[in-house]
Amino acid sequence: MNPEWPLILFTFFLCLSGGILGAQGLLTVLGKGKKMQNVALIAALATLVIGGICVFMHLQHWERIFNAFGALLAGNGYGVSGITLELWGCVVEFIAIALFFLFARRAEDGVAPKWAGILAIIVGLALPMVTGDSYLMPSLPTWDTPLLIVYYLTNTIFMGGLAALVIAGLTGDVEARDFMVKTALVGAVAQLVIVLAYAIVINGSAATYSADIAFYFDPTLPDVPMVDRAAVVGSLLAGSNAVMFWLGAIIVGIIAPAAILWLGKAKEGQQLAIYAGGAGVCCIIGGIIWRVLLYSAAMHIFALF
Amino acid sequence: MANYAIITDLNRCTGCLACTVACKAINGVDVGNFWIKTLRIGPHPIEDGSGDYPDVEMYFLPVQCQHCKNPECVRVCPTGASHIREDGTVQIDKSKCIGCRFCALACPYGVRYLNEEERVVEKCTMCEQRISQGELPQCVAQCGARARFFGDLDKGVDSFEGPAHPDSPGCQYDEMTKTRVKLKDYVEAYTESDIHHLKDAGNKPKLMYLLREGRKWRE
Repeated sequence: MNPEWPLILFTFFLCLSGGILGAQGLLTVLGKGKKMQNVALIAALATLVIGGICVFMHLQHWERIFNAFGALLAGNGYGVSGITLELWGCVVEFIAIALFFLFARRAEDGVAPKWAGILAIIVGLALPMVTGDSYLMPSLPTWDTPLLIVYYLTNTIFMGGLAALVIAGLTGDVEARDFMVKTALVGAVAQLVIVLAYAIVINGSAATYSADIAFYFDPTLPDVPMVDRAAVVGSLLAGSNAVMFWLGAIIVGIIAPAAILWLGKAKEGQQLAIYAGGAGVCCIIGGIIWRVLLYSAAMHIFALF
Repeated sequence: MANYAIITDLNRCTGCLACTVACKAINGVDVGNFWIKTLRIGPHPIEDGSGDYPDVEMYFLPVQCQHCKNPECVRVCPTGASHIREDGTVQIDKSKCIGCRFCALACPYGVRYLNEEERVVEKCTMCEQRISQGELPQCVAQCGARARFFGDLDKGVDSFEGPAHPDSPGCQYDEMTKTRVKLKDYVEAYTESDIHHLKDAGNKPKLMYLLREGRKWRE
């Protein structure tokens, strides 16, 4: 399948936004991160808005979304669509950010209460998972697995930890550093495990498709060869996308940022921001590549055209 | 009210593409889009054969919206644009469609297309404009091999109807369109086990395909 860039960017920015909010929530619960609090909230809000704009670019008639407000409130009569849940998830995250900000302003010490931190953690981690859930469709076996949801979760933790370190470095919030380094490294290890497991699952899924139909011809696509289902799902580990997978998603996307982070784990101030920023850029590149690969390895269960 | 569907006798289908072309003509389907596609399945080696010609088999398979009983396209639609009509067909209210194309992702058969001009998703409507006034879907009416039959599943597949020749060659349109034959009376004998559906991903496709013993149904 061809990549849908607005959706790829939407999920990326949502993971980043949720990660920053969740990281700040975690620091708040631990009684840390006061100096970086406002910048983190602004960053979480900005990435949420950018993500929202990205997904609106995907819609052909975004203005009509208000034509069916009843369906958005009460479902479409056959359940609640994933897009509806995503939309409400974004609204909930906005509310969580606003509450965090307002109660931090009200507090005498300028720090948001712990319940706001807990709310930020829950919302920050839940929204990417809800987004992942909306892509689970039996028609697309590559996506129809809880591993997709868990991937978004690990990506959120990894990117959230790195983004928090960049903010901590730029704002000189020293006390946030050690815990966020651990958070980002946990996210990196978890993402490595999940991406490898996910790729192995995709690699072994060829029999899920219309396996009985070995030969067919589509007269409306006379110069297009038959879909080689085994080659599509096998493209990640050792096929046509193997370089992108191993070099892009694994080495650049996970191992390199983890290594850079390890090297910069004792740095402070702008040095910390530079190391975490470098790791973050690698993580972003790898995360985008993996999302593109998830499109490349996806095809409909009736995979004949 | 009704539970409309189509059955195609694959032992009769010659792959002439009349259904594909008729659908495009009457529904104004964009260039490059196909509300119904006729695929050739095979040739596959027959079981216990030499593996080479002439021990091979094949059939033609017209693929369109299967008007599923449990359509995933309807479940994922955020605005309710995709819906199940009272007559059991799956339809799209274009005025509600925001063009998110999640329905196209959720359809197992890849039969939903974006109309680039109107920027909404479209698909087979089972010629709702025709069946609502008692006519046959155009793909059924124009089937060159009389392999396609349309009807109400609640009344049983045996009662599905296809077009027939009127007795008088110079008859009027009404008489021509209302002259029909029933599946059971017209096609070669079949059993319940000869009726097949496309691969089911939990969506319960309603459209049916007849393929009798001697040729293997593949999914």
